[in-house]
Amino acid sequence: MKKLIAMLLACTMIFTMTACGAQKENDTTETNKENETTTEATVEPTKAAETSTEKIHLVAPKVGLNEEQIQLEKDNAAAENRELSPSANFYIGVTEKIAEQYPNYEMEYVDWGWAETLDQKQRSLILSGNAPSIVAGETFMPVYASSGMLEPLPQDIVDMVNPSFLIYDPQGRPVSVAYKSSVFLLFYNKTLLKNAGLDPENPPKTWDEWKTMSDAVTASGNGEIFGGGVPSFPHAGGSLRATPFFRQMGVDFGGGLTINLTDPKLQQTLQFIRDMNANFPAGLGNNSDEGPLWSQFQDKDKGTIAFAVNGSWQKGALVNNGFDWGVTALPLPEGGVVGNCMVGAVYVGVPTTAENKEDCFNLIRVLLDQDLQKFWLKEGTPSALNMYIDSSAEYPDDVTLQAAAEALKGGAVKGLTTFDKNDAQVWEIINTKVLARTTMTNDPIDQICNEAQAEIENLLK
Amino acid sequence: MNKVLRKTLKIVWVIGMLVLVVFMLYPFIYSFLGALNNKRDFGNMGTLLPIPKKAEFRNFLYAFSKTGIPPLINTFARTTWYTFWNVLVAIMLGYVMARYEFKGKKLFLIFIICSQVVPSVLTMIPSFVMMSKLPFFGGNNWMGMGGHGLINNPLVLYLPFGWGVLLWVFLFMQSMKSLPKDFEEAAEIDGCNFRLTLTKVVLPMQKPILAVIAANTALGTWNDWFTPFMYINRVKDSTLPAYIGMLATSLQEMSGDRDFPKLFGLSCISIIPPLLIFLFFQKYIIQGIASAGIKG
Amino acid sequence: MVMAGRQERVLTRKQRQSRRAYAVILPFFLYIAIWSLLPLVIGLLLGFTDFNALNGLPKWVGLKNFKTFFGSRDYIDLLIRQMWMGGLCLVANVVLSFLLALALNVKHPLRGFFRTSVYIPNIAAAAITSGVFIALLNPFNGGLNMFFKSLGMDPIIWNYSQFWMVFWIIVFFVWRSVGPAAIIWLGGLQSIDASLYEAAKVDGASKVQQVKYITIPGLRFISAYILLTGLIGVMQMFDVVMLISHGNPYGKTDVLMYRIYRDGVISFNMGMAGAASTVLGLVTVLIAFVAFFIISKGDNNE
Repeated sequence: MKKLIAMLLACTMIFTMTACGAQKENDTTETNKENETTTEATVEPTKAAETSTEKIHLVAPKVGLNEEQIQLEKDNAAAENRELSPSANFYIGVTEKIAEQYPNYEMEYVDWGWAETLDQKQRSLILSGNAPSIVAGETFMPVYASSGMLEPLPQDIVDMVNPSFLIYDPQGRPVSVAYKSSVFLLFYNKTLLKNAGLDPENPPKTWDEWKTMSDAVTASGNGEIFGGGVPSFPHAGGSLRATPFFRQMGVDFGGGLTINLTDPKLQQTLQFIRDMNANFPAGLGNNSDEGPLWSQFQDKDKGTIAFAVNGSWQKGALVNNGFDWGVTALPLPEGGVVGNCMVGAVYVGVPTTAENKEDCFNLIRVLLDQDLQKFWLKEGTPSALNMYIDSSAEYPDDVTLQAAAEALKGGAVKGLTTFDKNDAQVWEIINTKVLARTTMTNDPIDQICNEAQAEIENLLK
Repeated sequence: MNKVLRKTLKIVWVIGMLVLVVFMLYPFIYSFLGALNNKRDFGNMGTLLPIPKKAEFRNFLYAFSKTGIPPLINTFARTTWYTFWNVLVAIMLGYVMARYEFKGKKLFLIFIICSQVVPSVLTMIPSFVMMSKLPFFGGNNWMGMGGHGLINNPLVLYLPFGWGVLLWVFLFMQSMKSLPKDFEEAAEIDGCNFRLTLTKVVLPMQKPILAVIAANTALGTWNDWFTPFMYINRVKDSTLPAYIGMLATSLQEMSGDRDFPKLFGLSCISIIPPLLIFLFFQKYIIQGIASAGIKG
Repeated sequence: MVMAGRQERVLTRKQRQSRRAYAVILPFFLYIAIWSLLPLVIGLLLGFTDFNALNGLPKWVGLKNFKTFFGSRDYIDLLIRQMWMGGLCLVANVVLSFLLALALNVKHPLRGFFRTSVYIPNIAAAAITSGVFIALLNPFNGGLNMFFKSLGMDPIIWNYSQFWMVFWIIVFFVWRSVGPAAIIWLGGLQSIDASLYEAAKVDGASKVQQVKYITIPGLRFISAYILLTGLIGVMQMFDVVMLISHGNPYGKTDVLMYRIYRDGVISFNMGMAGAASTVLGLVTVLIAFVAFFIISKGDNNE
């Protein structure tokens, strides 16, 4: 009896101790190793990394692809009988370039999803002192920046890129850069416009014109063809597409510790979004899955929607389909100002708590390599590099990209606004209880806004 | 006349039940067929039975790829580990509680019974906090400060041992009570010590209840997708059901990758082990639920 | 003398047994207590603090979190929704599983197969099977709406309506848990002495009377068990909501437990999560007690 208990206890003890010990040992050796390389790196920034024989372990989402992901990309392309997409080519190129330029980097290319999932992962890793070498993201990167979680970017990186692509911390230092990003444009299907008796060469310039044209397409479509409007997906995809329209009216949702859903101009915009939603087949404009909407717009045979608000990358799918389409800047409201929003951006930054920061920045330098960046141009997404924004020499025939670069040139396009407290929850309310509710129900807009305003004010208190 | 009526009733019953069975199994059929498609075909399909034009098995093999293998192994390891300990603890505690007389026994019994009705909402978030502050783990000092404790640490899948096991202790205890003491007394008179009595006399007679405990814990642990989902972020340290959980929850979010066939392929693979456990130990699993209901 | 000596020996034997028992039991109980009793204590304190769990120390803020909870409608609404949505899931499950148990309580060679089949949805984790529902419920090109369209019916935009989302949450919940509940009912039905029915038949009791006077009293204990455990279960139900509706449309199917999860594990707002957990836990225990009281009172009346 006693023997058995003793054995059992011993087993448990041994297990716990080895587990403990192993964990600790790992930790200490890792930190030691990393400390050593950091000191080396600070002494002799890039050289040290190249000559050092010691492996530097770097963990990075949205930088490159591991062997298996590359294989999957190739398999997918083969299964669908097409070439590798420009974005796959870019990531494979980055992977190869890192392997070639920095053979001592032991890269762990992780796939932590996108949006909420990615945010949650990175946040918990950073908070727990286990920061990855690079953090990536779109809507939540300004929050990281404003909470001082990111290291300022080296000057050489800042000099390379257009200021629209940077995010600044509260001290005004650029801390994060998008290696690609786009702005919203209005795409339209010329064939459908022609069929509805409209002039396909004369796209709408104002909200009213757009609404009239869209209504006309819907009316003549007999429930088969639709005009299309402003999408209001119940997640960040919705607020991203709605924000340019608010900015054109000269308003935004607020930011910092304020929320201004009670602004009449904002409610007017919501009314416009609701009116335009009637030009979508029911359930398409505010589905959590964006996929069906884009495929309804861009499929050659099944294209049933005349207008789509999307980033300039949409062009890629349209070109491949050999489809008669056009593109223009977003229509403006009466007395409105030009406004847009960064979209499809992949911002990257280095957490202040990351190890081997200089090596982390080297990864960003590879991401901004001018040859690799050309892949984004091919996809129809503007590159962050000044050389490709300021001159259209690389894409003389590409009207879409030229329109997008034109919007970006001023360097004043911003991403979604951010809130200082409970940012994720506030956006959740805006996305679901304001935007989605506007298009899903017929509740009075001021009621929707007042309810959400009260709830958000509570969160910002 | 009566006979004819009875016969028609029986046929109606069989048909009704078959319809029900089809309804109950339909999602599995759907995922299996869906997994045979590629992402693009599936997206364009929108039918109740996604029969592929050309069947592909790539999505099933995904569970055995470099991403899929570590979670698969973790799931097996975790299931084995908890099944072993649950059975062992149930035997040890259940035997002692049933056969020994000692002060405070009632107190333990009350603890066991009360533990089964505590709502788990009371412990979910505090457990998360505790894991993150556990001393000596994940860079924490003895005060539990400085590190991240068991969050994102694979040990979180093996160390915790909550009071869920006490249900099995209780069941083993009940089962011991229905076994006459004579056998053990006879064995003791024959000079068997505690361990021999337990392994040679008691356990062989308790095989059914042990099977109940083992099968139910194995099934429960395999299907516990939420613990790894909550504590572990890296797929390679996680379990297969938790990995599927990550994919499934992101279906509602902006995260672009809505690869249903891949999700279904992984799901089909991860159902196989619990299905086998269930088919082989069906009798015991059902007995476990039923007896939990009757005795609990 | 002899008597006294014997008593002493008995005592020592008892003492020895007790020592042995503690040697076995205590280590296990202590270990289990660390992982379950300790969080219970931490949980009660957590609600009074402001704490993000991963860096820094908890800051004592008194009743602030509870004031936030009761001060705005948001949390209260979620609590109420947790109760009625959980209640609907529970009622649907109890009723349907009872009917299923009656249907399975028939001697037939296929019974084993049917019993296995209805149980199978439960052996797959919720996360594993929810994807099918999402794919079918896509309002635009989901399987169900495409099927309706092919029949010439109007598609239903599921995600616009609270009613339909709650409906599908209930369907998913019941689909997963009807099997085990039916098997518990079945165990209860079969444990009722068959001779009672024989006797009733001889006395000329009708089928309805048999059910009323034999079946229902015989199942009192089982029904109490199913109701109580089910009650505790649905008051903490949120994985189904997270997977099927994500709280949509516009937060109309959001429940308190899901909010607690998001507050705690996603926003790291442990204080608020702790306070909400405490309230939800207490409400659950309270409801369970009331239910228990009503059931046991009914017992005494019989």
